[in-house]
Amino acid sequence: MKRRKIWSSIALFICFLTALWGIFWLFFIIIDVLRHGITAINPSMFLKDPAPPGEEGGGLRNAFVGHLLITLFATLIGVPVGVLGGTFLAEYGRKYHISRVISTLADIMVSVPAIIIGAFVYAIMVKPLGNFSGWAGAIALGIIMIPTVLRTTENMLSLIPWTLREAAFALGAPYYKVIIQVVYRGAATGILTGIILAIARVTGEAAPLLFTAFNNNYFSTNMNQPIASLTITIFQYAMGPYEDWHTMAWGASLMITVFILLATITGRILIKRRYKD
Amino acid sequence: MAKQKGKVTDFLFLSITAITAFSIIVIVSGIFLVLFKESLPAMNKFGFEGFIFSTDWDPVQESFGAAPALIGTIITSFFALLIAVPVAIGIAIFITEIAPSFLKGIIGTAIELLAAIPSIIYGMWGLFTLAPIMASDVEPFLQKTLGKLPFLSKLFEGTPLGVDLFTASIILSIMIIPFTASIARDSFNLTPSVLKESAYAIGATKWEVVKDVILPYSKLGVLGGVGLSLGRAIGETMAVAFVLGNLNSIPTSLFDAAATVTVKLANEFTEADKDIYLSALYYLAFLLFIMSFTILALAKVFLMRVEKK
Repeated sequence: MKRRKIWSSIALFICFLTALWGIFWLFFIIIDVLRHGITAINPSMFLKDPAPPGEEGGGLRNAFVGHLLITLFATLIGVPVGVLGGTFLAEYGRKYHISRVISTLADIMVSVPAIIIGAFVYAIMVKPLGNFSGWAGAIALGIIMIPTVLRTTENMLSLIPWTLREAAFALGAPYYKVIIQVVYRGAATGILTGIILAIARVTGEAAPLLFTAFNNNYFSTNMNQPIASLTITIFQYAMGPYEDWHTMAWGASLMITVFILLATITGRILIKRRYKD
Repeated sequence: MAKQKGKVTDFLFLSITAITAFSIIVIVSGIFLVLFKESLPAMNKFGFEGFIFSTDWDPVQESFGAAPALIGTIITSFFALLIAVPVAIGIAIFITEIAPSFLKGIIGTAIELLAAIPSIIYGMWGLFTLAPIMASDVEPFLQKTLGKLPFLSKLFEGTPLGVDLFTASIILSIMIIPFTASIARDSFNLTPSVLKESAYAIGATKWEVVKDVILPYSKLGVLGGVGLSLGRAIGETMAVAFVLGNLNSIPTSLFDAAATVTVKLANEFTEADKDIYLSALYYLAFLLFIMSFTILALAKVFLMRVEKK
């Protein structure tokens, strides 16, 4: 009897240790990024373009602007397609078998390696057009966003009770009006959360940009040309030989990490508030 | 008249939503077809077995083989799962069965934040912080202890440099913990409390309830979670690219530098100056897509069976 109790305590203690193990790494990484990154943050990081390799000073203005542009256009592609697609699955198409197939495919797509999407966009855009471009990067990230936004939208719309729709139908409203004025309104917080989380996810992506947006050491807002991004700059600078570059990479890492963690936590708080009960 | 207009708009809205929904099918089949088409030259030249069993990677001689990259992917994913799965299950048990309710949410969120950290940050941190610690402390320690055991000694041979399979596997294992943990947690929560209570009523300890009631009941869900983690692990790129060294040879020890499919793609794609070189890389990407798609689809099937229950 007693031995069984001791065994139980030992096993449960080990479970406690595994939780500590997970949390240990989270804090290790975040504190490490903070510690290294904080020394790199100064006004010139945001206001200046990179100095020639090996020279002191310079900043990452080009990468910040490029990253913002790519993410913005990716959002403009991914969000409408995702939200409307999710609407079809949860509303018009909910009875069709094909909707469940699409839903499952989207679930799989969420986890398909991002670098595959990069290779795909390279083949359909970069190769035929002959050069890397900001558009190719935005499309790659947009493709990554679609399934995420689509699945959350579908789930959030399905949570809206049918009686609400029926009440609107009874007033003679056509289905599209019911969706836009009743269903979307009820699910707005949920959909918004899905969008925030999807943006947070693509902000940190580097692999799909490697062979689409490529990189650019100069300031550029031309989406038809290669454009700099923070994540690719981090990769290039961290692998480079200069101490100065490493510091800059840590600074960029800190900015990205802070942004993503804040966005993720905001998303979680929003969704918790909305669906408290 | 107004009614007519409503019908037309409704049909338009339906069509737009339907088209966007079907874009998923277009994208998935598009990826499959495009990757297949781009890798055709390499498929014709090297064949299937000739490609996956060959260890060549020689752009000058135009001879390419996938064996080192595939083996690198398999080893890193295997060791990452070996570490991550028990930990993730432990975390799920802790959250569902042990932790007081105020801790549940906090620990659950903390673990899920591990999934939110981008892989490039894992890579940075792995290269500059973890790899030096591995090289100076952890790996020599392992050589002195586990490395002395008769069968394991082979695995821990070589000079510990920190940039190797071992460090890559550790980083991967941290990255995939949240995927198994959150699905395992959800499946544990599905266990009917009647089952648990009846086990407690006949005098079972908490661990016995976990081991003999909850785990058997939720094994399908946990398996699905493991599959999802595996799918993530084989496709992870940036984190591994920093700490693996992209060395094209079959590793014999965990402390060897190596390559994975993703690392090879990330490092060489933009350098491929010949058509057959690029095609060989697309062949790798195609194999990776098929592998991860199959694994993720299987995981999804498991999880859907759980939902049906």
